[in-house]
Amino acid sequence: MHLLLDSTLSEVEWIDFIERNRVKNVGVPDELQIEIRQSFIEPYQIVSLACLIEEFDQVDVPIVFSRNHCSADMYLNHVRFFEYWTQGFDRHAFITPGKRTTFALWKISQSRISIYADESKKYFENLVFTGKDLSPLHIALSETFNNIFDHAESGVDGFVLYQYYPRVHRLNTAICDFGVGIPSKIKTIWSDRLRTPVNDQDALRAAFINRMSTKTTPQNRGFGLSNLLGNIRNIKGELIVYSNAAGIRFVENNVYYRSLPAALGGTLVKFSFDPSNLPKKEEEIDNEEYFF
Amino acid sequence: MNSTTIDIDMMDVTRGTSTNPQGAALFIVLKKHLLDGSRIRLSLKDASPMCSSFLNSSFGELIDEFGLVKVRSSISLVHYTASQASTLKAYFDAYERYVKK
Repeated sequence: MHLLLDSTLSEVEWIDFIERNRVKNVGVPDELQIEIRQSFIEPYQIVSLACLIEEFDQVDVPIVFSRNHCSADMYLNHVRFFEYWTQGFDRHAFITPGKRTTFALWKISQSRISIYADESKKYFENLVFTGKDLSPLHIALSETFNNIFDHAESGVDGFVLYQYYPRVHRLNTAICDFGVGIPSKIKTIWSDRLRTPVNDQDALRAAFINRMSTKTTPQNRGFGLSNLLGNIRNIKGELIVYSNAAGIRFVENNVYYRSLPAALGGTLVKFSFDPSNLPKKEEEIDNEEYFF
Repeated sequence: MNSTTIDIDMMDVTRGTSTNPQGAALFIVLKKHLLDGSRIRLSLKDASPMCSSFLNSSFGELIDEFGLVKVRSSISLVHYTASQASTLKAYFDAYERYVKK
């Protein structure tokens, strides 16, 4: 099976491309050959492609990359993408790419959620955005990762990558899983209460309302995704989520909806912000006790 | 019942503040001292930002067991940042607004 990535697909077209080429739709080929001829590749494309490859790797399909000298190939080489599915490579480790504007592509591991969130916060605070407090990024990552392990039931866990673009002053983050999807989970809990069917867009929108909990674990109280959104909004960022047949975009105080031609079996989360909107690093208050 | 004040450094209890198990580790320690009738002075020195899973499994569980009034009056913070205090206060307020209604 040969996958050629040679055009500039829109986000929705890209997601459709990934979904159409999943193991469940194409079966198990003898080999998966991937050729990338794009001039530019974004974090959301890389993490969703990583999930796709991971799925083939799990059914022992050999992964072969046809290399060339396009810019996207060079970038992927830089983040060591081509090594990720070689024998003995630990995809759960954080591999520093050697370029300070990128933080490691990481296969999300439940036991290392806080280490990854801590390390990425420190990395950007110390090397890129000195004097800024990256707590909103830390919280957004933790909320999204926990959502995967608490609700998604993703066979490939998930992948995350972020990239800072200095020329446009944006830090872009993308996280993808191949789980059941947020609308699917929400509709399951609603099915007991509602007699009329609910569409994926309404279900996805509802997931961002405080106290919307699927109670997948006893500790769930429905603050996770609303906390993710709140943190991104506080720094004037943009949050886009695609899950099942729905897409939703939060920017400033507006909400926009998108439909996907083929339902994504999973969730793709993108958020981006201008780091100058991050709060300044705070001093610890040492001389005063705080009472609630 | 005594009224001793106990000093607890949160990062001595848990290695992170991102997950349910890390919150549960803090919950166990705080619960023990609340059962003893102690007041708790909780140091947030070098603590990471607290996400909702951590808060639910620590303070949320504590409030479920002891009630919001008891938790608010028994725990104070030291070595904290303004945003850490504000996160916890917002969590207590949200709990009061949504969970107990």
